[in-house]
Amino acid sequence: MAKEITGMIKLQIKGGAANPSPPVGPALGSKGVNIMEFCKQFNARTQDKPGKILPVVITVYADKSFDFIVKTPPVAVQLKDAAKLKSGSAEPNRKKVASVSWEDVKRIAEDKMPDLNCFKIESAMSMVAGTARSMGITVKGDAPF
Amino acid sequence: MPYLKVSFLLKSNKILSEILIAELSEQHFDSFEETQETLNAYINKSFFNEKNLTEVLNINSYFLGLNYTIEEIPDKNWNELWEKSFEPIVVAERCVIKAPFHQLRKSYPIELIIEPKMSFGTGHHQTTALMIEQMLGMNLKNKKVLDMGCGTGVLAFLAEKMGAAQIMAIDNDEWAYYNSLDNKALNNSEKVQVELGNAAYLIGKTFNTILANINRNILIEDMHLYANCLTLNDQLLISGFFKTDSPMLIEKAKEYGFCIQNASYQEEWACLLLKKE
Repeated sequence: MAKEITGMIKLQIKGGAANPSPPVGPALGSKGVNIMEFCKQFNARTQDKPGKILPVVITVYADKSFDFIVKTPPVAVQLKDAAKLKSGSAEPNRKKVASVSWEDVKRIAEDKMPDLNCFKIESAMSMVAGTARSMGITVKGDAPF
Repeated sequence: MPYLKVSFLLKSNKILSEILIAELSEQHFDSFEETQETLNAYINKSFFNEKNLTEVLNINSYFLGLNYTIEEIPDKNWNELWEKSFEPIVVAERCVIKAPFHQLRKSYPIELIIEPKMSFGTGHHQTTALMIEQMLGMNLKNKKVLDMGCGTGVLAFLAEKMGAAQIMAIDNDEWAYYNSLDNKALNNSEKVQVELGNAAYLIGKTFNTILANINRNILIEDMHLYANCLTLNDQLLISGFFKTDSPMLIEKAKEYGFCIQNASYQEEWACLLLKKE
């Protein structure tokens, strides 16, 4: 029989850097979960992406056990990486500070498809390109769709 | 150290939330929580500088007019609820780890009392159990032992019970440092010296045995420091990493003159006993 779920917690934590401070501590501690065990497990699983923001969905069960799913970094974080951008543009619609290619956009869109609620890759790419524009990042070339 | 919760009223603007997270994560904010209306960003108070936050908000005109509130969250033991009711752990039928409130029905050759107070090392995690299992098979009599990243200090107190002459327990986390001191008193320990510090503290020191249940990246990074503290036939016992990461650690250990003496596994976790050649 499936275990009874008592809570779902959604957080975004830096890879390899979970610690019992807020928000991890209060969110898990209030449900009687052993926070230290979560931190050990999360940090071991995310050690290949140290310091990178990673969305995590934690399921807490009635017996105080837990499991969790770690997702890939948010679109904006991936765009910054692809553009090798330290920080975004001061004026996103006028002064473009960096650029990415449509290949970068496609790669990020494919990676984030499950989280973007899109059925077609073209829709996901449009969303990624839209985020890039909001960040002051130019997408080079013509859209491939 | 207290944390600050900086809440931004975003009214479900997902793109704005993502961009803000990407920017703030480069400014020492380490975790985020999205609610229906707000983005809550968390930062260790000692790293917070409101001027830097204002600069971030001025970077992108998308952030114009964004309001935020700052709330200080006091430092407390968030793990208290679990710690009030955890079960004692018995390893290899020889060592029991219990809290002061536990009444045991039978006795064991080695009894350790641990009140964890938001520190790692109660024996419930596979890596602690693996370390203890391996330690029980080692000869620590009259040895000079280091427990690196000691957490509750559980391994250091076990080393003392196993006859080690001198034990140093180090952690870079303040909670762990004070918790090890509390547990030292609970275990009537006389030979464990607790220190607050990191691997740099090891420079120039010597040990016969090093115990390190940390994580893959730190173990790899600090392997040379451990190697420098040990001489021929001394032992290094490591855990805190997955079985799949073992080859990477073994390769690094060999680079610094270690050979494998033993390896043990529990579920996905691994523990390696290495000897200095």
